[in-house]
Amino acid sequence: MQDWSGGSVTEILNPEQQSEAALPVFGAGPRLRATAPRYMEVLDFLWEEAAILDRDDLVGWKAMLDEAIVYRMPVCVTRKRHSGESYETETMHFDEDYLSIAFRIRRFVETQAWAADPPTRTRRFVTGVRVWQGATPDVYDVTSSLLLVRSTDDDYRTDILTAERFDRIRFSPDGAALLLDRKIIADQSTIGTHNLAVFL
Amino acid sequence: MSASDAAGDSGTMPRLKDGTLVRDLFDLGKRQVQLRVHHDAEIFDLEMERIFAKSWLPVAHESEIPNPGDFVRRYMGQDSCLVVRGDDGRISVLLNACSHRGMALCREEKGKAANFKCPYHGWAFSKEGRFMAAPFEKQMYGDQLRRDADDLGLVTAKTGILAGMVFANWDHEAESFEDYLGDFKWYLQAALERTNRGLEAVGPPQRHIMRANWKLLAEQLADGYHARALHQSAGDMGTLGHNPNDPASWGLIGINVSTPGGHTLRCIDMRLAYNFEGLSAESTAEERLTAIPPPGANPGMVKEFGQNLSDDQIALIADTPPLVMGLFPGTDFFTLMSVSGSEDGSHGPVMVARTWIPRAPDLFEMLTWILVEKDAPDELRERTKRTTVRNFGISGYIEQDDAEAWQGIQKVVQGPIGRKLTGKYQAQLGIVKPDDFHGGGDVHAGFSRDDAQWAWWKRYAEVMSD
Repeated sequence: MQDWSGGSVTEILNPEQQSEAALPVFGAGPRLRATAPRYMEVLDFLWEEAAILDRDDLVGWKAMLDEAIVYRMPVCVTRKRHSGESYETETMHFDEDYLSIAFRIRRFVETQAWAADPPTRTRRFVTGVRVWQGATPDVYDVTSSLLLVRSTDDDYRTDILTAERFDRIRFSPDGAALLLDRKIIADQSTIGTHNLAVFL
Repeated sequence: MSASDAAGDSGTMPRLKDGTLVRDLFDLGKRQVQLRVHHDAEIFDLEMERIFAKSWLPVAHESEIPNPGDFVRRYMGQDSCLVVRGDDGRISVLLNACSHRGMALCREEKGKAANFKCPYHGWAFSKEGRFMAAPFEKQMYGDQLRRDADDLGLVTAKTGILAGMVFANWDHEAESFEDYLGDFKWYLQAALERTNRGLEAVGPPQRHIMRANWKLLAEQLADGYHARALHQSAGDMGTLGHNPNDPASWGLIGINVSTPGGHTLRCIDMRLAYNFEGLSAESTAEERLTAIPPPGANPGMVKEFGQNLSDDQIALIADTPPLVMGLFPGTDFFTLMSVSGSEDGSHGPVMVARTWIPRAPDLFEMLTWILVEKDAPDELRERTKRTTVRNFGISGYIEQDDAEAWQGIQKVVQGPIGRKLTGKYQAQLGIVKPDDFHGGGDVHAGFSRDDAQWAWWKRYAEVMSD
């Protein structure tokens, strides 16, 4: 059986390395097997996060964010396979930190925000979770696939957003996890919903 | 007979299948529009031919394609186009369709090309759209294609540039770009072409869909009145409406301007909206701009304004800066001086250009470019980008709520009873032009009423019913 825990195999597992020039290379550390206890804790964190967001518990979600969080969603464009150019661009759909997310949440929860009142209903399916030891012992680099289905009012139609997420998750000594960094790469270059009054 | 056939008959005004003259959808006396204009497929088809095939439309910012061969693929109405930088630096806008059988030439949204070669049979075209060659040309065609080469080029649009935005028009008989801008050139230059190096886009535009008719966005540009109700949350968050009962704090006191061509803009009165603390009443426009620089600029850039703008233009952006600038039918520049979007209380500007691509009567796509001064220091550039994204565009907390109004009206017009309703624009100031206001066009100074919005509809009615 192949050993997935060693650093030697990470090179072939990490095509996304090039895009994180400013930060310690994402996913460069040893990858954790899906049987590792810490892997299960990461998975549990992502499932808990999805459930909390699906229940529209935005204040609860804020408590899962590290105050140093960087939360971004770049605009992406279709490129030719051999162009050598990235699907990502410098334009952002989301360009957030903790206090701007807190601002958005207070707007949704405390003010007459028509975009979220009545709330849209969302269902998040998080799969394909992969975990690497991060740049420091308490941080893990995590990629996952997200399927977000959004239902609005009594409309039978649903908006579907699919994305890969590149997360950094920090564990405190007592085992509590916080989201430290998230980059969302949507599969649609034209986003198929009327606004992003939802968090991915 | 379809509406478009009727339009083609000389001397016949366009008429819908149920017998209604398109002209009769508008009550020019009462200033009302039948809401079926947002629903009927016949009307949509007429719009594509009468408006989007013949109007100046924004397609790209030139900074997106800085080098020869750089291109982006965009839409003008339903037609896909390529915006290409040529070897001489000039920009061409080409229909993205091979002249041979009509295959889409280019399948990526952005790239670099020496020429464009059709994937289907391999016909090749230059960056300016000229027919160059076909595979096995001699065996297939003899020398026929050589003789016909001039007629085998790609369909081209004529182009114009404003503030670095590339505009294009398929109709080579249409009015020139200068004539199209008309009185609005003066305002747009003042707001957008104030520095020596000008603006750039930070990258390609955000793109997303809206389940609504495109006109619900286009006509809203001149609507100040919605701010207090629809953007109540922005008031609650402290961005707008610092005094909820004071119209000035909702940006409702200022100067609206319109043209017979359907351009609209709204200037807010800075003298009411901001406190020029520490400046005397006799301070010059430049002193006021240096104290509170306009959106996206800093005090250092203000020094350049005099090299690019007239004194009257500088006075405009100091006292009554244009906030939202709409060009009929598909362009919006939106600049806001100082809004938040963070619990740290930090403020920054909003700088966007927007356009909309009609997809169906009840669906459009929205494109939002984020603009920054080329010479902006990193801090200002980053702040402009962040504040803009947080306030405007797909995730912007202000614009999130606009989407609800557009889609909310679209739901109503799905019903035969609902779409018999009218949109009402009877609140009119008339022409009110202060002596010290030097801009052209039809000037409506005071409370932001329906004048400019109705000018948009009058232009739409004219283009659709003549």
